[in-house]
Amino acid sequence: MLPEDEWIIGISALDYFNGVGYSMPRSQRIEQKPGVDRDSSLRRRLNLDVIAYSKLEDQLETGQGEGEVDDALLASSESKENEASNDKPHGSIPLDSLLDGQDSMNLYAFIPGIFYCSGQETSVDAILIEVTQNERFGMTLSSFRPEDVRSLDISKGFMLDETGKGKSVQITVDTLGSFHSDDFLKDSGLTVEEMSYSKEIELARRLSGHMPLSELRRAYASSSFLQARLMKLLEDIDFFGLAPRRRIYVRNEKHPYGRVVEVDYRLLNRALYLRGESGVSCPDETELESQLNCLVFTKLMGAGTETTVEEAIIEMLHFIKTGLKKRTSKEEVLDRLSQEGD
Amino acid sequence: MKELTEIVKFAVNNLHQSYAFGVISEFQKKDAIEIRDELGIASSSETRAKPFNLLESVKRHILVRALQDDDEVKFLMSVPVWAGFKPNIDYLETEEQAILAGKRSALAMLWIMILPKICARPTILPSEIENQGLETLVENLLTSDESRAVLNRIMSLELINRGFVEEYFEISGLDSGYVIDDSMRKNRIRALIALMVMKASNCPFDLDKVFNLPEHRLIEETTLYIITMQTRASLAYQISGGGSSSPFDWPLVGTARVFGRLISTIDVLRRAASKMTTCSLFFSTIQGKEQVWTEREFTSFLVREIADYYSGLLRMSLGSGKNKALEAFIDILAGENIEIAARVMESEDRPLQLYEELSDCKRRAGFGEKARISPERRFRVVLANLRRRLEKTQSSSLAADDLEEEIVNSFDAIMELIEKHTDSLGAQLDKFTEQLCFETSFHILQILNLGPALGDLPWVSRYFAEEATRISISRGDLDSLDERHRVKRIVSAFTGGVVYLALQAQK
Repeated sequence: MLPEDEWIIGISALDYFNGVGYSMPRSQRIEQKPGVDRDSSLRRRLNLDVIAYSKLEDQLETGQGEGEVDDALLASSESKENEASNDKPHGSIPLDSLLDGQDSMNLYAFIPGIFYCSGQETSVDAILIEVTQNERFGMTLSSFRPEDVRSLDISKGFMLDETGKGKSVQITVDTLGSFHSDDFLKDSGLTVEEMSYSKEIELARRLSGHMPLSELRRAYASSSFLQARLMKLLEDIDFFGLAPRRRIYVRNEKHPYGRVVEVDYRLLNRALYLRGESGVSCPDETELESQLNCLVFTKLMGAGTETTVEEAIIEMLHFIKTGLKKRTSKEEVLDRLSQEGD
Repeated sequence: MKELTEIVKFAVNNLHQSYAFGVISEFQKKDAIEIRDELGIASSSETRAKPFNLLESVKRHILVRALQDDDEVKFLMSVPVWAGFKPNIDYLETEEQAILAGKRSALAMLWIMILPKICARPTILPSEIENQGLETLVENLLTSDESRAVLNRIMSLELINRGFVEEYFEISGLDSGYVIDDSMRKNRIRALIALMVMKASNCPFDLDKVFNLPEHRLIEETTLYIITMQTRASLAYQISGGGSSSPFDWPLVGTARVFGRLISTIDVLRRAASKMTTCSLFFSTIQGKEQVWTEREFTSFLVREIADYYSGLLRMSLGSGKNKALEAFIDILAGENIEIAARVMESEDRPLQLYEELSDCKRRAGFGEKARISPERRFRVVLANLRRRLEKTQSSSLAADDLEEEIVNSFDAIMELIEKHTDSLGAQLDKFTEQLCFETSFHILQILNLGPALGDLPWVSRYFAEEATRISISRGDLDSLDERHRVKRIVSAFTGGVVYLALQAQK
């Protein structure tokens, strides 16, 4: 909730999973090491900003005409889909002996895309969160709730014109972060000096008198915190392009505060080197590797087939690449993103 | 017959108090052309093609004029269909027929809606409520066309005796413009009238259960609704003093005699409620089973009603500076009402004990004492109070400032709850705070009928958190961003989000 906490912002196609993908691992070993990684001074909450792509069909179509490598990738991932549900998960160590029927019933939430994580100051190909629960005073607390993910509409921004009135504007690098709610209130003849409640509540009650929800959404898109975050993401894309980062952000029982894990995609290597393997490989954490490859998600886009972590990541990158027409400069990316909502 | 004449006499006596009666009287004099002009309907072929739509719009027009409550209008417009009546399209041939049928139906409905209200009087003694011939009136309303004709005759006579020469009582046109199979008509008209009386008495009811009642039970049940309405009106009147001075005008806290009458009234309410089978108002669900409230729960209800009255006083006196003692008194009364009710139930002299309890609360409030309840209880009490207040005053009519204050109060209760558990929560503190805030926001938005707004809550709240932080930074007020204030900032952000969404919805 608080802006100084960890945040993640990224680009994804939300209709791919109709929001966030959820999965129940088919079987997975529980590894509990209470207290090992828990640093009580760390009180981080994740908040995800996702800029959504809405026109997936269009992108699929234009995708056909794009570069050959992309098509090859997409084709190979599709051909794999039918087998995926029957295949035993690949693991680099024989896991079956360890499973022992200890099925963890925890759910996983998953979003592929290009994301920038503030905590680790780096970008990743996907976010994967194990939904853990615990009881407090008769209430069940979940480590992840759907409302942790909010999609952003940056099709229009909001700024003050010369006369101090608010107006809608196109979001560009220049107009980002230009709207300050206190200036707006000052110009409406109000100051935040005289307050009977805390700043947050005062802002809320005053803005409610001047700004309907649709305008607040624009004001939000033009706020300075969002600007800072969006620029981090845009700079990252500008610098590293649209290639897979070969990293994902994982938050699970073992890493309750989240970490970025180095991974590789066998499917991608197979396409390039013709090796007959698939599945995410994860050299640093073999255990996580087997977990990752157990997960199956139902894709809501298209025919509603099942997909794996790996396939979804590769497919999503493909969508983003075609959606952005392979342009990576800050201005062009922002321009493409802000036009999506129209 | 004598009983019926008595109650009809009484009802006609009260007619002048009813706003809806004024509207009945006005429309009884209007003919089709006048009504058509009033609605601004051009005599076009379009309206002639759909006479039933015309009937409906005439009906709605009259009902909206007479009733202040949109919910009642909506109910009356759809209740014939629920009872199995179908629009009679063949019967309406001309525009005039449609307008007059709409008028007849609307006026009959209004008569039925005002009857239970005008036969109630807030000044009634508790002992009289059950023995005033209400059941005879209901029986005549529900039994058959013949029984309604008897009622019609007595009413008409009484209207003339009272000097209402131009107005007439007429409910046989209730189903004008509708049709139903003859074999079912008698039963369905009965159900229709019963439902309308129940609606007029302002208690929620379960439609399916009402339809399943046999005739004698339906008459009994409908009578119970009117009795319930009368006792509630009587309670409110006794507490508020009916416009003149009240025995509960702070710093007064009633007298043993006042409580004696209040408790007898509550006893009547309890007797009626325990016989009702279609209304869930006085039932609580215990382990999946519905049970009528216990005596203690009814006493606790009485204490809450009194506390509500004091809250109203407090709000009205806000302009002249807050009354700290009254505020503390309400806090104790509302917070400890369950304990108070339990002690009253154990006592030999319940009215006296209740008086002693309130006097004791007043004494403690004078010392600035707070209610002796756990933060968890307080949190629930605050939410329950909010729900009760909003149910009483339609949320749309609740002033923005009041609404805001109620929301802030609810979240303040969270702060207390969290502060108590800070140590045991440890590293989970923030997470727990957010969870609890989210739950609370969810409840408040639900109470305000804004469930769907929940989807916007997270980003709206974050926006306020971010803007408030930015303002703090830009002013160099870094102390307010200290670790110590995190919980407060999180709670404030959610409060801000809910306040914004609630106030926006009011616009």
